[in-house]
Amino acid sequence: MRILVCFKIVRDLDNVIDSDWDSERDPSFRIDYTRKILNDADQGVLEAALLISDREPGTEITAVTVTDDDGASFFTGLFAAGIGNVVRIAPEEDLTLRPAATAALLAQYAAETGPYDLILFGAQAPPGDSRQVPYAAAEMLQLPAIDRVRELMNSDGRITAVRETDTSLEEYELLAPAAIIMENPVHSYLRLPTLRERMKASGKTAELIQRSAPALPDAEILGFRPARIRRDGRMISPEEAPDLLADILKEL
Amino acid sequence: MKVFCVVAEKSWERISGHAVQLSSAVHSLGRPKGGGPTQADLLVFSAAEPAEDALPTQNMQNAFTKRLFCRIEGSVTQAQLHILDVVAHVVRQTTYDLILFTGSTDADLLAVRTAVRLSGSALTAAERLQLDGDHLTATRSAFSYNMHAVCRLTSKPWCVSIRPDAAEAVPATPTTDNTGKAVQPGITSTDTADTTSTAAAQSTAQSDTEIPQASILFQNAELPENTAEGKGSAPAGHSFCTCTRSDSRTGKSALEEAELVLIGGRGIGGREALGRIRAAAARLHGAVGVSRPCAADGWTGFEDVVGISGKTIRPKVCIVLAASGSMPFLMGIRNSSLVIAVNRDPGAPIFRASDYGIASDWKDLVEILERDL
Ligand SMILES: Cc1cc2nc3c(=O)[nH]c(=O)nc-3n(C[C@H](O)[C@H](O)[C@H](O)COP(=O)(O)OP(=O)(O)OC[C@H]3O[C@@H](n4cnc5c(N)ncnc54)[C@H](O)[C@@H]3O)c2cc1C
Repeated sequence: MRILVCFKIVRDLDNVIDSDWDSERDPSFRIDYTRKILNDADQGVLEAALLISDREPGTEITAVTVTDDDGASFFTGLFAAGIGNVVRIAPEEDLTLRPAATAALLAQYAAETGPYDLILFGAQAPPGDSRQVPYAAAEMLQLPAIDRVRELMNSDGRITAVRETDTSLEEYELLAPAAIIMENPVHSYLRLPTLRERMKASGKTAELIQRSAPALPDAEILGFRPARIRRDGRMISPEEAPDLLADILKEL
Repeated sequence: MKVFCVVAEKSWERISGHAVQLSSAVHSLGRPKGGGPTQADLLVFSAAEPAEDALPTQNMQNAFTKRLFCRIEGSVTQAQLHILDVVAHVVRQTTYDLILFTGSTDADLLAVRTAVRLSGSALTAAERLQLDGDHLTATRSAFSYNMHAVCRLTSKPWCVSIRPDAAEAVPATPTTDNTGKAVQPGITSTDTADTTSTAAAQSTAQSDTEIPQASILFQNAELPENTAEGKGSAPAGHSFCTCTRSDSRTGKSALEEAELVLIGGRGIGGREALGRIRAAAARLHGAVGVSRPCAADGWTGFEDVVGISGKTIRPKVCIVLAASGSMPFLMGIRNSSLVIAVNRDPGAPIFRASDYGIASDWKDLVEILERDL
């Protein structure tokens, strides 16, 4: 089986100082002190591909990202975890907040190096959270897509996707090729390679492809507004807590 | 201005709710500069034939000039390529400016794929749609829900999926104007003195009595002839996947219904701690939820997760133990009447989103709850 995993390196937004969200200006530059991480959803997607390969030896996994970031330490981690081939597409333009153009580069790569049985994506990634790249790439490749997939299973050459929505839990047996968009994956984290695996991977480098993105009609971002949820925030001491709780719970 | 509203839903139970949401979104658009009234048509894809009272109220029926129905085989996911073919075909024939998608599951997928097919522009999970000259503006979340991005779509057709819970954010459609007279959602402009819109409302209301049969373009899942979209897509009825299990979720869980909810965050440290919190909650007839890392780490199932990717709860009292207060988490507790947070970091963001904050170890608070209060 051949699997292509599309992933992204992003800022760790959990570690932004709360007040740095309080301005109407583009926060990108205010938050660039945070560390870079593998996008939350993509960790589980990479792990899902590795689990398929554990069950079906000989599975070929390529992980591809569109970024102007060198990302070398991440790529070593991916090789060490068992990803066979890592590709970085370096766009000639800034593709931040340009999901259609990003999807076009991924689709182009998939078309040139395919066919793949499965193309896997995480559902969304900051800063844009656009939820567009996977669907747009699937359409450009004329592939059917299934989203909100929590788990992928394979046995005897059959692939099953477990999908969970607000209204249902569904299980689908897939006919490849298909695009799979994962959200809240059951296996949320990418496996940790051993030191030996890391050492073995240290010589490997990602393939670098330089590309110019096509001009596609992406939405223009006019500005940002903080999305804060605020309440009174009255601090009380632990000693005051029993009386307060007794009063509040009495009302229930 | 022509709007095409698309609802794709396996069964009819939720369709009228979606239609109400769509008509309210159309209503809130306003009027294009110097343009006539907005005309909206509705196309429903469903696996079941519509019931007589599918769009129950007269207001709902009047909101859409044409109401079309197309039967699909299986789920929306299975029928996606067919749905896309039909939508593209109808849009090419009628030249809509805006295509709005909603549904419980695949609205984002359909909106984005349609935009690519028709060389339009896409926006998913949009809120606050507004016409701005010859552009459409809308907001959506960005930076993992920490910011709202104000977006402008230029290339038509604008293909937009509406955030499923956006009805809460969109101003409610007025049912009466400022003189107390009834206003029909989705038709009448908020400017009630405007005669064109009144005329449009009347003509739509009138056509409503004549249209039903004639307006149904596709009675079944057959593709319209001479569509160019056949390439790469499955013929009607064929699917890339077989559904081997489908459990519908109806009703609310105990967590969503509880008046008291205790939530454990990553700071509680593990499965045993969660057991202790569950016991305290049970004594008080409350329910227990968790922040997402607790489920990701395997301390409990994902059905207990509260937040944007889990449950939205509305208890009278929500006690948050050792969670930092990330925006994706806060989205799940924002409808609670009262929030009390415990965190040993006095600077934790959760305190600014709580009514009462206690800078302490979570166990101190659970100890209090374990006593007879
Ligand atoms: C697209 C997306 C969707 C997401 N959806 C969700 C979602 O639906 N729900 C969700 O929860 N998260 C979600 N997240 C993850 C979210 O961004 C945060 O990572 C998560 O909410 C953090 O959980 P936490 O607050 O429990 O953990 P942390 O941020 O690690 O916070 C733990 C807190 O515990 C405190 N603490 C530690 N020990 C103690 C102690 N002994 N006593 C008291 N306090 C203590 C610490 O001071 C800290 O503030 C999502 C993220 C993304 C990108």
